[in-house]
Amino acid sequence: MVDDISSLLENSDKLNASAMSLIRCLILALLSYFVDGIQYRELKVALKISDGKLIANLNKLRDMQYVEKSEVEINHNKIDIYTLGPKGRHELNKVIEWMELVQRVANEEEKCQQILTK
Amino acid sequence: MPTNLDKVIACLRYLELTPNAYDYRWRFLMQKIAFLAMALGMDISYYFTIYVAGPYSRELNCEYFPDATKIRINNLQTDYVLQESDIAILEKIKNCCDLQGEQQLLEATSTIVYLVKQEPNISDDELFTRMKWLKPHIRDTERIIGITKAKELLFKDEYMTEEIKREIDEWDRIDE
Repeated sequence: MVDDISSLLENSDKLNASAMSLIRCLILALLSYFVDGIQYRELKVALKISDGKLIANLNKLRDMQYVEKSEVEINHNKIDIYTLGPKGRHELNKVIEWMELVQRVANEEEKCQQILTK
Repeated sequence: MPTNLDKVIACLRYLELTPNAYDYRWRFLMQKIAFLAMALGMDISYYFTIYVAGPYSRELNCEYFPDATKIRINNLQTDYVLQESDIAILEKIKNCCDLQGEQQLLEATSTIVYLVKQEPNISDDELFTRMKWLKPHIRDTERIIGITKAKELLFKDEYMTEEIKREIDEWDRIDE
């Protein structure tokens, strides 16, 4: 338990807080699933957020080299495709590992509560 | 033992396509063709999701991700020999869908096939509404054509009863 708590605290320092917002985590998770990439318009529908908010988040993730943008022409329209870059995958893995720690710690807490309420 | 990917490559070969698996548009097309072939009864067992970029199979995506596999796809290398039933399915897809034409129409058609397979009694109005919610970037005309094409793809010979045949004949004779 002590080990998990110290890991939880120590590993939180290793995470990039700029990648930890709900929208950015969602974008990274979706891009890790759709390996081929996601069209901008598909991301917009999935996340249900404004263009301004989506562009701002995507640009931030691009600045950090977590996501990559390419352009393809589909039926005479230029479409932006976003994919997860190696740095983004690495950061996402760190987030997942940290969340697993959160889960372990939370489960320990739950077990204690059950014992105390008996 | 042929793999799912062998079967998908055999489909591409039969459909006389010249894929470039390094190109997003070809991978998009391959995903939709694999889904349609599976939905129409070909023995392919990928899991497909309808959401975001669907119908999309991550399994299929991971299989064609390595460079060596992309080259194999581009060269249409497969040991799988299509069965008669596979050919019938692919002929249906070939005749119904303009595979190298409007990608959005193929996206609409495959999405509607997915929805109908999940809920066979779904009404056209409901299909239209769900499509608007799932894929608002697809135009209304493409949605309507997509519904018609999906019905054509999912139509089975046994649906053609004597009563329907008679009705179609009457419509065909209407100009006489």
